[in-house]
Amino acid sequence: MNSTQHSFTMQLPFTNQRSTLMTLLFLGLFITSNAQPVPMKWGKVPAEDLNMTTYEADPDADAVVLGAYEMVYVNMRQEYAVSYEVHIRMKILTQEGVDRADITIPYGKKERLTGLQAQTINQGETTKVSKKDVFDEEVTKTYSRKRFTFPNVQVGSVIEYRYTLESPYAGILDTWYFQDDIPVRRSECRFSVPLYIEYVMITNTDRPFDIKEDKRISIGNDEGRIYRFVMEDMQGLEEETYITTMTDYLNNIQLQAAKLTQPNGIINRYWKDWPDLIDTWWDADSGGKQVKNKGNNKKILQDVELATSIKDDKERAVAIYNFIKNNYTWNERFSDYAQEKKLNIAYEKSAGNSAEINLSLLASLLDSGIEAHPVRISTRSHGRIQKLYPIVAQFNHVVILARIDGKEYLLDAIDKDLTFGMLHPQSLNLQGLLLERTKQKIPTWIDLIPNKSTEIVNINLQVGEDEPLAELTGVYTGYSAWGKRYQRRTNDEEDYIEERLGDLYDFEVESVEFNTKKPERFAEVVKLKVEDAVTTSADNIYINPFLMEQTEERIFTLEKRAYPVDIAAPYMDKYILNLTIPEGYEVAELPENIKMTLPDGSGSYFYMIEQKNNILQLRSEETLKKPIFFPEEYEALKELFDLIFEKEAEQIILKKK
Amino acid sequence: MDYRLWTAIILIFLITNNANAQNEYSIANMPAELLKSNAVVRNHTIDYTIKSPAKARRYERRAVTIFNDESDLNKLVVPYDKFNKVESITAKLYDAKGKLIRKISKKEIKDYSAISSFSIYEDDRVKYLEVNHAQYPYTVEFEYEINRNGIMSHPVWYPQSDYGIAVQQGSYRITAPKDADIRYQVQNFDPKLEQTTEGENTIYHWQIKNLPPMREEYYTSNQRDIFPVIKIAPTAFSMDGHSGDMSTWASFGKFIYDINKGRGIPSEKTHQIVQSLTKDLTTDEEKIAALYNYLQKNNRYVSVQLGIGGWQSFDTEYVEKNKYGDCKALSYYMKAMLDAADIETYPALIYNKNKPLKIDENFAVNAFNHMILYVPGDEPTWLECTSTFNTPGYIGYSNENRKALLITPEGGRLADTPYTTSENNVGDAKINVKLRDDGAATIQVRSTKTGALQRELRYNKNTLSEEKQKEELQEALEELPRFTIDSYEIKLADNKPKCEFNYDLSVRKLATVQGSRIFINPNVIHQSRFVPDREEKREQNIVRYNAYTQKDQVIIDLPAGYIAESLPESTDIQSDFGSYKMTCEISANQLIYNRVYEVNAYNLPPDRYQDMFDFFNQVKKSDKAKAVLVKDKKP
Repeated sequence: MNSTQHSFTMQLPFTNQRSTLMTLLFLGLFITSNAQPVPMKWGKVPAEDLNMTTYEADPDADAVVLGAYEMVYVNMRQEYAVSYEVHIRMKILTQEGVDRADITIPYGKKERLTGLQAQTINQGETTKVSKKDVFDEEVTKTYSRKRFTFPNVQVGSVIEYRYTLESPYAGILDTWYFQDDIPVRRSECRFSVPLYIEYVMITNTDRPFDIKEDKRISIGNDEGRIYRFVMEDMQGLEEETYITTMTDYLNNIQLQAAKLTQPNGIINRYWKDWPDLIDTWWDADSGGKQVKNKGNNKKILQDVELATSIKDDKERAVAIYNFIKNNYTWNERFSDYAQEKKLNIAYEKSAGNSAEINLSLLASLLDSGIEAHPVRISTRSHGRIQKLYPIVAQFNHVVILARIDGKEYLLDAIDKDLTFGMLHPQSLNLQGLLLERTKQKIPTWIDLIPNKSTEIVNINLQVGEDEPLAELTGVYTGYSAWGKRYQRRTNDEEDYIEERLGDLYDFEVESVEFNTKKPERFAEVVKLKVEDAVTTSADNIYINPFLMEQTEERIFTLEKRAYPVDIAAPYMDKYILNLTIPEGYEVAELPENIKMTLPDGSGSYFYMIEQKNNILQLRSEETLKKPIFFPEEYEALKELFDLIFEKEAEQIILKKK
Repeated sequence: MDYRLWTAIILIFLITNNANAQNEYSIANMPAELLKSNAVVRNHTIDYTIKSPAKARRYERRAVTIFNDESDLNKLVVPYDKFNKVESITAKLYDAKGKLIRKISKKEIKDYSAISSFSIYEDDRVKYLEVNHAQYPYTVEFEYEINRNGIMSHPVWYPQSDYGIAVQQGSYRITAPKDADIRYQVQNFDPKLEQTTEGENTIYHWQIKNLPPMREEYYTSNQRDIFPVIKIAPTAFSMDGHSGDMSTWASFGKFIYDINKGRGIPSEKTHQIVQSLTKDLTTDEEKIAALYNYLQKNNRYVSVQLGIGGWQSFDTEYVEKNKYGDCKALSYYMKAMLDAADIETYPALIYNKNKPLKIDENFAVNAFNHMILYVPGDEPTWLECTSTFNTPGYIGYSNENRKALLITPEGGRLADTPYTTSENNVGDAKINVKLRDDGAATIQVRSTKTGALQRELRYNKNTLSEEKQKEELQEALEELPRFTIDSYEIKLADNKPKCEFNYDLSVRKLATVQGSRIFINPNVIHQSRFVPDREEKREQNIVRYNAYTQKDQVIIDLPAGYIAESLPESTDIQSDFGSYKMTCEISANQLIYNRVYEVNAYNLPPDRYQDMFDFFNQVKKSDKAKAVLVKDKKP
C-alpha cells in the first residue's frame, strides 16, 4: 500500500472494451447482511455434483456451470487499481461437453494474470493442470491470452479453475455475464469499492436477482462497501439466425466510474451526464480533437478541396463523400475513436478504422462550409443502446449527420458500395447520440433509419412454336441495390450473371445491360432463352411463372424461436410476369389469387394473376415494413414465408385450343 | 473487375504518357498477355543460401502491381517460429507511373500469434504487413530476410500464389554446399535452369519470364499439384539437435521412427487395461475393435505443437494421465495398446484433406499433415485415432484413396490407404407417400446408409439431442414445403460404417393442386440440383474424388379418381462421370418411381468438360420433372 500517494490516476481502456447493455439503473443502498463465506471451496466438490449424470432443469445440456464466482477489489492505493478474482466450476455431462475443457483467458498488455490454477475432479481422483501445460499466447503487442486444457476429462468430470487478473482500468470494469450458452446453476459477483470512488451499476437481466445486498467494510484505512449479486438456475441461451448479438440477451452487470474523490479532496467526475459524455469525446485527442485540429487533417483537406470545387452545396457534399469513400480501404474495425495520432496518417495509408474514415469525412465537410455533426452509435453486433445513463462502452462507431438545404443525411463512408445518405447495415441500430456540445440534460437522439430497399423484377415471356424468350428487367434500390453493386463490382460479368440466374434452370443468355447512372439505383436488363423452364406435353404447356426467381428453400425452419428476428432493413420485393399466350393455346389452369397480411400489418404478401386478351399477367409483392419481429410474432412470420414458398411452386398450364 | 476495362485504360495511359516507361514499375512496362489478371508480380527474387544441414538464409524481394482487391498480394505474411527468425522487413509503395509514393514505416508491421483454431497452443507466429492505396493500379514492393536454424525441409516455391496472378519476371537462386546433395523437382512449367559451381558451393538458378495467370477452375486436383512449383528438398538435415536424411522415403521414415523411439510403449497401466478388455476375445479383429473403442471413449483430441514437437509424439504416460493427445500421441498410444495385445502396427504419416496430394515415389519431400495407424495383415486395417465416432477400419474421405508413409523400424515405406468407390458409400431409401387430393401428404422414409453417407448421422446421433437432430433434418430438407416430423430414428451398426435412418413426415402441401390437376415431384427427398458452371475453354483435368450411390424407390398412393396426364420420362444415362437410371410409372392407384444415381470418382482430360456438364445437367433436369395428375372425367 502506498500511503504517500498524492493523487489517483483514473485509467480508461479505450480499446479494451466489452459490450454493455442496460435496462435498469440503480445507485444507492440496499439491505445489509452478515459476512458471507465464498460460495465454492477450491477442491471441495459435493458428492451430489460428482454423482450427477444429467442436469435436471435441462436434461439435454452438454455441460452445466455449477458455480461461477467473481470477487472484484477496487483499491486505488494498490499497484493495480482493480483486481478480479475468478473461480469457475463446470460439470461435463456428455461427450460434446468435453470440448468445454479448452480454456482461454484474455488479458491486456497493461494487465497482469497470476495465480492460475486448474484441476479435474473425478470420483476419487484429482488431476491438476501443471504450469508447463499453461501457455501464454501473445496475440498482438497489446493483447495476450492464457491457454490450457484440462487433463483426464470424461463424461461426469467436474473441472474448475481460478485466477487473479489485476488491471489498472478502474474507469470501466469488465462486464460480468451471469449467463452462458450452457445452463448456469449459480453465478455470483461481489464488488468491494472504497467510498472515495463511486460507480454507476448497470444491469441487464430478464428477472430480479436472487440475492442483492451490500454492507460496509474496511479496505485498509479506507471505508468502503461490498456489493453482492447472485443469480441462480439460468438456462443456456443458444444463438439463432437473424439476431443482432447474443450479448443483448445474456444477463449481465457492468460498472462505470462516476465520481472519484482525490486524497486532497478534489472531486473528479466522469460521464456524469450526457452533456459531459459528449464533451469528453470532443476533448479527447483521438476523438473530437482529431476533427478540430486542422493540422491533423491538412493533407486531406487540401486534396478534398482540389477534387471538389463545386458551387452547389449538395453536389459538393456528395463529391466529398465519394472522394473520402474511395480513398480508404476500411480495416473492418468499428470504432468511435481514431487509432492513428493524426487523421492524415490514416489518409496516407489509405486505410483506417470506421472512425478515422468518417471523421475525415466530417472534417472535410466542415472545412468546405457544410453543416455536419458526428453521431455516436453502437453497431448491431455490438448491442443495443440504452438512454438512461451515459455509459461510454456501449458506443463503438461514429457516423456523420449532414444538414444541407433543410434536409438531413446520414453518412457512412466505410464501404465502397454505399451511397450518399445510406448507412451500413451494421449501423442500423435504432438511434445514435448526436455529438453536439449542449447544456441540456437530455441530449438529441438521431433515428438511424434504413433507406427504403426495393426490388422490382419484370419479366416479359414469349412461349410458343419458336424458342421461348424472356426479357428480364430488374431495378433495385436501397440495400437491395447495395448487395447488387457489391456482386457486380467483385465479379466479372460472366460470373455475375451465372450467380444471378441461379441453378434452378439452364438458361442461355443473349445480352446483358446495366444501368447505374443514378447512384442509388441499380438496374439490369437481361435477354435470355428459357427453353429449360417450359415443359411441353402432347396437349399442354406447363410453366412456373417465377422462372429463376422462385424461392428454392424455406427461410424459417425452426418451429419456434427464443429471440426476435432482426432483418436490419425493411424491404419490398415486386415481381411482374407478362406471358404472351401463343397462337392456338388457351389457359387451362391458373393459380389462385391470394393475399396475406401479418396481424399488425407489418408484413404482407399478395399474388394476383389475370388475363388481358392474350397476355397473362402475374403480379406478386412481398413486403416487410419493420426490421424487428418478436418471438410471439414468429409463428405468423413463418406462416407468411411458408405460404410464399408454396405459392411460388405453382404452375401456369396452357392447353391447345 | 472487367479485364477488358483495364486493358483499355492501360492502352489510353500508354498513348498519353509515352514518356514514363522509364520507371521500372510503371504499368506501361507490362506485356499485354499478363494484363488479364488481378495482380502482376513484376519482379520476384529469392536468394536461398544453405550453409549446413541446420542453417540457411532466405532473402526475398517481391514487387507486385495490384489491379483490384481480389488478390491478397498487397499483404505480406511471413510465418516464423523458434527455428525461423525474421531479420528485417521493408516495403515501398509506387503509383501507376512507377513513381515512389512512400516507404512503409516499421510501425505498420504487425506481429501476431498464429495458433491454428484446433490447437491449444503452437509456437508459430507471423509478421503481417498490409499496404493500401486509393487508386488502382499501384505497386507494392516487399523485401525481407529470414535466418533459419533448424531445418527439416526447404521452402517450396509457387511463383503464383493464387488464380488470376501473372508473373512478369522471377528469379529463384539456391546456393548450397556441393556435398549437400540438394534434390529438386519442377512441376507444371518450364523455367530456364542454370547450374554452376562457385568455390565449395553449387548454384541453381531458375529464371521465369511472362507467366500468364492461372484461370480459376473448379473440380480440379489439389491446387498444390497443378500450380507451377519448384520444390527443393534436403538430403541431410538437422533440427533441434536431431539429424536425419531425407533423400528417400525410407530414410525420412527412419528419422521419424528415431525421434519417436520410446513412444508407443505400453506402460503397466496399459497392460492392465488391455488385459481386462481382451481376455475373453479370440480374434485380432475383435481385439482391435475393443481397444479402438476404448481409445475413442476415453480420450480426446488436443493439439499442442511446439518446435520439433510438430514431429515428435508425446509418450504413453502423457496420454494416460491427460486422456488427450494430438494425432501423433493418440496413434502412438493406440500402437502401445495393440502392442500389449501382441498386434504389430506402424504409425503412418498422411496428407489428410478431401483432395490428396500426389506422392512421387522417387522424390521424398515433407508432404504430410496428419498421422494415422496401420495394422498389417492379409487384410490390413487402418485406424483414425482422432475420431471419436468412426467404426474401426473406417478412416473417411479425407484419408482414403492416397499413399501414406508407414514408419517402420526398417525405415519409411509407402502404402496405399483403402481405395473406395461408389459401392462403399451407398444410400438406399424406400419411401412411401400417401397423397391427399388437397396436396397434403405423409412421407415414410426407411433408409440405410454406408461409408461417407453415414458419417454425419453417426456424429449427430452421438453428439446432439434428439430435438437438435430434428432441427438438422428440418434444415436439411428446407427444399420441401413445411412439414412436421412424426417419428425419427437413427440406428447405428456397431463395428461397420453403416446406419439406418428412418423418419416419418407430415407435409402440409407436398403437391401443388390447381383446379383439377395435381403436380408432384416423385423424387421427394433426394433431388440433385448440382450442375457445374458452364466453361468455354478448360485447361485442367476434371477431377472428382468422392464417389457415391443413391438408390430411391418411391411409392406414392394417389388420391382416388386421379390419372396421370404426364409423367417424368424414364431416363437411362451411362457416362464416365456416373450413371442415372430412372423409371416412373402408374400401376393401380400408385405412382412407382425408381431411381439409381451413381456418381463416379474420375480424373479426365479437360476436353471432356462439356460431357461432364451434360451428364449433371441431364440428371438435374430429370430430377426436376414433375408428374401431372388430373381428375379422371370418365365415370
